[in-house]
Amino acid sequence: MKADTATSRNLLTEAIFETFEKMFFLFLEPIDREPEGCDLESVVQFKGFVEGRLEVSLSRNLAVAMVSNMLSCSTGDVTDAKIEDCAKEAANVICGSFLQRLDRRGDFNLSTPSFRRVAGVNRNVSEGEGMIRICFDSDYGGMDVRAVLSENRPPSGRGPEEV
Amino acid sequence: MSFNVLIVDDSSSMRAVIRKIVAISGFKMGRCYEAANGQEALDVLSENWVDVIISDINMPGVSGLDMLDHLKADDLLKEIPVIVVSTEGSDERIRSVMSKGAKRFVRKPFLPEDIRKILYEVIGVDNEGRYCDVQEPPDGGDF
Amino acid sequence: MLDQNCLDKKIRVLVVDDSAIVRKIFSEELSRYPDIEVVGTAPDPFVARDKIMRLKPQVITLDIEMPRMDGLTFLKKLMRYQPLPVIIVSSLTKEGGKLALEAIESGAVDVVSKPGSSFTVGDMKEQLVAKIRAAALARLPRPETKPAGTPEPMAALTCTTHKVIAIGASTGGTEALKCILTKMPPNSPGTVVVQHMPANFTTAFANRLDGLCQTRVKEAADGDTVIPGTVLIAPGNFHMLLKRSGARYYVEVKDGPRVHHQRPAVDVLFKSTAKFAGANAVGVILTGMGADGAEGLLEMKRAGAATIAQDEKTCVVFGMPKEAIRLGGVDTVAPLEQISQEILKMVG
Repeated sequence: MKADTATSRNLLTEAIFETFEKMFFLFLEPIDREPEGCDLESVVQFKGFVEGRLEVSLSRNLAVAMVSNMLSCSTGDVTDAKIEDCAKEAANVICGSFLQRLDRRGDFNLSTPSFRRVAGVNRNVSEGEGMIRICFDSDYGGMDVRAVLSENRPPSGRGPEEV
Repeated sequence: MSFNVLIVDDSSSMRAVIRKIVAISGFKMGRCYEAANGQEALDVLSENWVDVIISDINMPGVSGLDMLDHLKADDLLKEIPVIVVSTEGSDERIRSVMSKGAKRFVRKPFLPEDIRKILYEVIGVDNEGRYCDVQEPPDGGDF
Repeated sequence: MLDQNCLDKKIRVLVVDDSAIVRKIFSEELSRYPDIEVVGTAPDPFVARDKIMRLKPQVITLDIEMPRMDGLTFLKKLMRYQPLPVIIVSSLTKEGGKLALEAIESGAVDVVSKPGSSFTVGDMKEQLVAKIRAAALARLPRPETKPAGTPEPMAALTCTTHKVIAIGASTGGTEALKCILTKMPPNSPGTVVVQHMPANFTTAFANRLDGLCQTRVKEAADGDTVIPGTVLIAPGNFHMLLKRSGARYYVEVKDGPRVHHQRPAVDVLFKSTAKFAGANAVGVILTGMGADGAEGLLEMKRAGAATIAQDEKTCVVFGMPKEAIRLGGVDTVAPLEQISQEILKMVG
């Protein structure tokens, strides 16, 4: 049972809001444009009742705010290692929360999140069948989240948005 | 009175945020120990008096499920309630975790008030973290 | 732990009990003794732990039968993470006896029963104070997990019907007795034991040992015959004497004044054994505070019996054996693990 894109979009938004409020104590605002400088990218793959992956791209300023809120430390104490760990956890928790909302009974496995820095990427991606993209802004910076879904089919190579 | 907590998660950020959420929840936390996997957790438990464990499942090395098996096999450690927190959580998965001896399953992310309630529940005290709801005479209580 | 040996200091006691009334009574009664100070009380294990860390008590009294808390688990954790001498306070019920015994196996040094119909607060207070003093001196064995007792095989014994083994013990004695008796072969000489213990615990203790030993172990009843392969444990609150009728040894279990504040008393058993079994007996004095048994063992030795005392190193409290040695009634001083062998050597 595959939710339509609009429903999936809402569920992903809810999952993101919840994660940011409960884990990072931050509030996000959905926006229609692509936020700038989202160079920190973490990716989680999932398999199960639905397969695909979730990509979370953060601006450095937002990531710093997330770390300092999460760890209760000053922004001066935020290191690259902490940013990476925090960004991976964010993707992991958002993904789990989202899939849970898609199907409460559905079984799934998450991969260990990966992380990379991508400077100045132009993500020329638009939503479509099996593809959700939501952008956010906050007091600290932007975030760009993409979910690629294929229902219980082996993934057919790489996603179309990969550069 | 306070309770000693052991937080087991391979992500140090996740341990920190769990610690923070437990702290702001108002739960009466005494010592807070951390471990990055099941083996580290068992090492902590061999040296330290822990009242409740909050643990992730998927960890490198000795996983949360393996840890539950170890705890079950230890006469003393089997009494310590374990709350499993995880991002994954189908009903099937929850059942298998519970059948290994976990007391509760909590999905990340969670709210401070939720975790406090669950912590007190599994420890077996009331909502204020008190053991006895029996009224103590004012002069007979602790001194 | 150092200040345990400083006699000018009071023994710091923490009372753990879910009953506010018990906490109050214990605090008030114990504080009357100049050498004891109740430094705190706790109604549950979590408060108890906090106070143990903060107040550093030397001795803990613990009620293990509390409706809301698992006292036994608390005790086990305490022995693992923060070993301290613990005295179990337990009811006179059958369940209480079993639980108390498990507590002793888990590392508690002694057990005292709550006041009951025949046992007044005064009786209890006296016993409790004596046990607290003993506990403050107790040497806690490091909680080590010994391989579950498969007793070393013992040489089978030849006819031993005419031999009698008499054993006396107090604080730490239940575990010492377990160590000795589980090693005795099934046809060991008839054995009579006095262990200072409240009434009813002796039933649970005898039952427990019966399950562990190759010999039969039972709580003695008046008139029971002392026969090879059987161990008789004196019931709490009664004295036990060895008697002889023709070729048959039997025990008399009876009331009577306390001796050394104890009933059963080791001296009562040993003196009767000296009289009726003479050189056919082996006397063994084990760990415990005080002097009970020392005179009796000397009488046994004078009557020709072989006598053994547990050595200082393996005693939880080196009191009774020390006194027995001082009086000159001891032939052999042996560490706990070797006592069963020594006994068998002497009767062999």
